[in-house]
Amino acid sequence: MNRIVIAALVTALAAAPAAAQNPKANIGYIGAADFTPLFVAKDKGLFDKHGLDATLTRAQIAPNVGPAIISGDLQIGMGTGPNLLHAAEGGLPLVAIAGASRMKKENPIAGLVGRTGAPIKAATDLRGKTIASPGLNTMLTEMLEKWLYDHKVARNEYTLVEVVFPQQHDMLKSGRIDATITIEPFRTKMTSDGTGFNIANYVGEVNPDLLAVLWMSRRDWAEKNPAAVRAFRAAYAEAIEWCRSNPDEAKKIQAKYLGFASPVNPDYGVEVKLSDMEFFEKVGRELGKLRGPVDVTKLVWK
Amino acid sequence: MKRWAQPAAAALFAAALLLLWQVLAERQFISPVFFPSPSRTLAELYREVAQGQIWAPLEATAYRMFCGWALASLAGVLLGAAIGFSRAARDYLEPLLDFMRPLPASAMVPVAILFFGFSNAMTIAVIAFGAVWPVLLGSLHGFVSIEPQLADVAAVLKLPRAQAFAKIAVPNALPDVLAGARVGLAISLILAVVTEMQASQTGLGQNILLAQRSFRSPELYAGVVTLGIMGFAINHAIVLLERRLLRWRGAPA
Repeated sequence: MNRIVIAALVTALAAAPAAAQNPKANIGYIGAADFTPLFVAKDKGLFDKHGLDATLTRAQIAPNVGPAIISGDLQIGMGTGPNLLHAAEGGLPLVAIAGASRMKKENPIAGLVGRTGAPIKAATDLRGKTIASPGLNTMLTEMLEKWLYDHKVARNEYTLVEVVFPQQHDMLKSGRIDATITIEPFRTKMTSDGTGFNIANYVGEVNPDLLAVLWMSRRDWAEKNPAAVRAFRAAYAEAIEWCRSNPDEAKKIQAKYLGFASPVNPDYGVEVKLSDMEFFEKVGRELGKLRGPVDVTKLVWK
Repeated sequence: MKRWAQPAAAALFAAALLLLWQVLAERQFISPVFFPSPSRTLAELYREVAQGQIWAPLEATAYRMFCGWALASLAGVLLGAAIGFSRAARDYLEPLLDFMRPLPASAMVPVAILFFGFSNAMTIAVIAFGAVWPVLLGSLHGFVSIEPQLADVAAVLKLPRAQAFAKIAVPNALPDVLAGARVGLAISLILAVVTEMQASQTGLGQNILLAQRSFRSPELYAGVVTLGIMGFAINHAIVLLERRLLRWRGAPA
């Protein structure tokens, strides 16, 4: 009997410092539905369960996340394929350690909306038009440029202006823009009150299964902390499964972290394939966003 | 001897700072990803000049800056003269202008977009709004602070109001107007860059923003250096203009 108690005590004492020594990671995200599994993993203790001492930090805008990882404020942070490629070309030692979400053709959460009355039926009708983008050089904008490029509309034939999602509705209504790249729930608001109409699910046409958001870290951090990377991936995969089987509760957790519950959600996925990055690299070179080829095999952490 | 010694010393000082920058960058005091050396920055600038990439954005920014500044200067002189010369205009306009003066011009960008769309007119309106104040205040001060003796001369000579304005008030206000215009020009350049960043107008400001977002720091610094050169050049141009227009004052004591 005593032996068992002592054994239990010894185990507990041995386990306590081990738990305290879980590798720490400050994880940077932005306010979007794509990160619901992250909130779930934190809220449901999945990071702790898999051995990662995780802190979540919300960044205001995506471009700030990369530099914050490099400076060491964050160990893991969100990014996109083009983001990672530009970082690599600029000499930032970042790697993709996991996927976060994908945009699938059958679940188009982003699209191109035109102003009601504007004579836009096809890509070629966008010549001479002013199109709003949530951010120049962002993934969604680069995909629109690729879509127009595929339809032989040159970059100097249309104007891109930056308008944040909440302002797009008014800009469209006032006629200051002819079309806008938008996401849910803003798209439904524009199309349901007659301000705009859906032109195309251009992302799905460019790539029916696109890696939308990924997780990145510094290469040297991933090298030194393989257990942390494994723990992050395992916890994230479990959180995605949990979201699938508990959609209502996932929505509540989402609202707790974001301040709103999104009416539609992207497809979550923890995988990053080499082909995902190859696609972005090819598009980046086609559009002249990248100055030369980038070796993507070095950007995806095994 | 002394005429060239001073500028030479200033150039030497600038060269020393450049050298310090180079040494700090080479020692990797700050990550070279975010802090490129002057040699990398100048190489990028050279590439942009050699490939002709720099001229279109430079022209767009300079055009906006100049139009905004010209509009601001014109409005500033007219308003300043009106307020300085007329009691009634002062009573009506001064409180309103005091209210508007502290409004940050960049906060006017969304409003200007709704009125003018994403156009040069929008940028020029924002620049004019922000750059009008130094000229306005300068010209107001210049028109109000007429030497009492000169005013007496005008009274003795029984100069008509229009002639008193042209012969006494305008020359008296000119130094203050030009000083205001010089400050206004610097503000115009800053606002041209800010509006380009905020309202996606192609130009040096947008290039700097995009370079920053794509982690291209040599390109970013090349843009900053170009702006610096522009600022240096326009300031000197206006100093020369000032000297010419104010030659009648003689050399300052």
